[in-house]
Amino acid sequence: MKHSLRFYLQLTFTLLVCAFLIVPVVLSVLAGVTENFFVGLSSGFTLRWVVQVWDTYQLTIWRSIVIALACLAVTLLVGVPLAYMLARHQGGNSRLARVFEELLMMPVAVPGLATALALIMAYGQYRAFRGSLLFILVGHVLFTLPFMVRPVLAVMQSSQLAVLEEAAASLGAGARQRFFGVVIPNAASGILAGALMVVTLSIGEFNITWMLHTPLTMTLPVGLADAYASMRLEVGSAYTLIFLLMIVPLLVAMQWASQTARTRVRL
Amino acid sequence: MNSSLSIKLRQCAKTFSSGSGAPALEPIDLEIHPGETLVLLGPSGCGKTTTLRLIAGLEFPDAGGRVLFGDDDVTDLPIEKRGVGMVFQNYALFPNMTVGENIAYGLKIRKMPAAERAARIDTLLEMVHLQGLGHRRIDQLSGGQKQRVALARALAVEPRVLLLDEPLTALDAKLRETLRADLNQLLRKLGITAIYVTHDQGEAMALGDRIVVMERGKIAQIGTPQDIYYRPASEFVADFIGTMNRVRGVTRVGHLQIAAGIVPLANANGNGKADQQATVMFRPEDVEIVSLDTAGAEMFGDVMSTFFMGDRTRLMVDVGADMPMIVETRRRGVWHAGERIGLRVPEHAVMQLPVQHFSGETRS
Repeated sequence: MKHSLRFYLQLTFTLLVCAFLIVPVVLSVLAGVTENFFVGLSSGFTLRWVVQVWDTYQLTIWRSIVIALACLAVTLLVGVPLAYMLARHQGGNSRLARVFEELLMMPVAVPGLATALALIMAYGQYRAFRGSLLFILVGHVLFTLPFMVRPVLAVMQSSQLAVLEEAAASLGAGARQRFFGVVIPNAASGILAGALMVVTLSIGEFNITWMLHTPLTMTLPVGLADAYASMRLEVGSAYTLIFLLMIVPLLVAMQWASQTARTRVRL
Repeated sequence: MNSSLSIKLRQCAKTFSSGSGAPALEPIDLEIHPGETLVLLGPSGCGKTTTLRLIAGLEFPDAGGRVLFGDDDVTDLPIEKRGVGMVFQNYALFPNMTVGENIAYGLKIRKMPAAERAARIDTLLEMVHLQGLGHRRIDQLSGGQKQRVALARALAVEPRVLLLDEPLTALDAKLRETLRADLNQLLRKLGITAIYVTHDQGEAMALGDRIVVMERGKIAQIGTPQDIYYRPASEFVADFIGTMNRVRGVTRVGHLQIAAGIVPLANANGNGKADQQATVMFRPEDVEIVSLDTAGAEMFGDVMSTFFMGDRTRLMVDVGADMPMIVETRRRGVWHAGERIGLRVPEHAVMQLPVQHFSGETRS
């Protein structure tokens, strides 16, 4: 196949942009497994730094996973019924529903530091709460809730849910039976997409967490900053490597989920 | 099936809060006889779907309206407590379930044992001619099959009344006709009280024991298909059902003088007065084409265009009025544009209706 000059110019440009984005990632990963990054790759490869990170920061990793799962549980319990209510309220297009959705998005638009500061000012005096993981969880839920509500709401609006529910009701199903038997299964793709998004965002959340954390409630991204600030570059890079290993499967799963969601809507 | 049920609406009106404030449905009284198929017919926005949803329990009437199922007042019962079966325009099948699971949904809600359920699914699949498709996914079905499943699902719970909301509208013409025939047969066999909403007059005629023609939230006429077609109660009904010629002229003794000739008037229709402006209507198939030289020709016109439709030919004839006269004949023949032809209408086919000026009456 013969391509025009224009094609090759575009290809070159695209590859350059890709390289620009990927090179730092590759460098960072390499730094995490290099004996001495200032000397260069010739100093040899090692897993020493990865092991060191694991020994030092293992707790932050577990903490991040626990918070992400707790955050998922809360956003599911709050977000799915909320999306349902918004969808049922005049098909989700009422003024009230839109205002509510905008309000939900606020913590995403407002700088995380400001959100965190507000939380500390309001609840900082409750010492036990302030020092617990629960405090971090509150920040994460605030930040991730819209990412659960939006995809669920979108699926609910597109799947003629109102008519399906009417059909179920005509067959004798009460409100609870309709919600669990019809609404939830038919919003499953949206719920899955939202869930993966929430977990991913929660694991990587830095801004709010950095302000809210105490030395005893440090999460993975905060630990990462800590490592870069106070230890060898190689340790911080090894930390990044571990983070990538956790987050990449989630991102792939997210792509897969949105793909299935799209296929279902097409049907 | 349960013994058939009569349904009564008493002064049922419906005003939607989000609308213009004008009622979507004026207070109506309607009685549906046990076992009959009643068709609600009208253009979109006439209130037919609202009426159906009031009966279903998906909407509730404004204060003062009552809905009675037999002797039970069900006005305040939600749909899940009314024991109705419903078929929707867009099928509304549950995409997360198979055909069999869809049909069994209502039975499962009623806690019917699994073995009994399976037997019932088979019976119902057979009833709607879908034997062996119980394990299919919904997205593997054609539109016609989907609507058959929806029908089986609605009938599975042995409803006291079957409500059908434009069930054939989403299907293509050929399929619509097949399914219409099957539906007709099924409704007669089951003897179930059924209410059928449509905007398609052909469907209404074919399926309805009685037809309710609705217009702007009011009932324009209730009657058998023959009543509605041959004896329309208003210009609106006459126009909505079938095609209608409308000619203006001046009344003379025994006939109406129009530009192209005369239209016979029965004495009872002539209002007794001569020399009055009047409008009469008649159907295209009632106009006879007669040869020019016989004495039988009462009107004359020039053929503007012809449409051969197989079983009949439709002619648009210029009779010197604003609108061409539409003539349909089953006679075999070829007419050419510009040809002059003779026409006559038998007296019994001519309708004279009280003229209603809706534009003056409507709420603003």
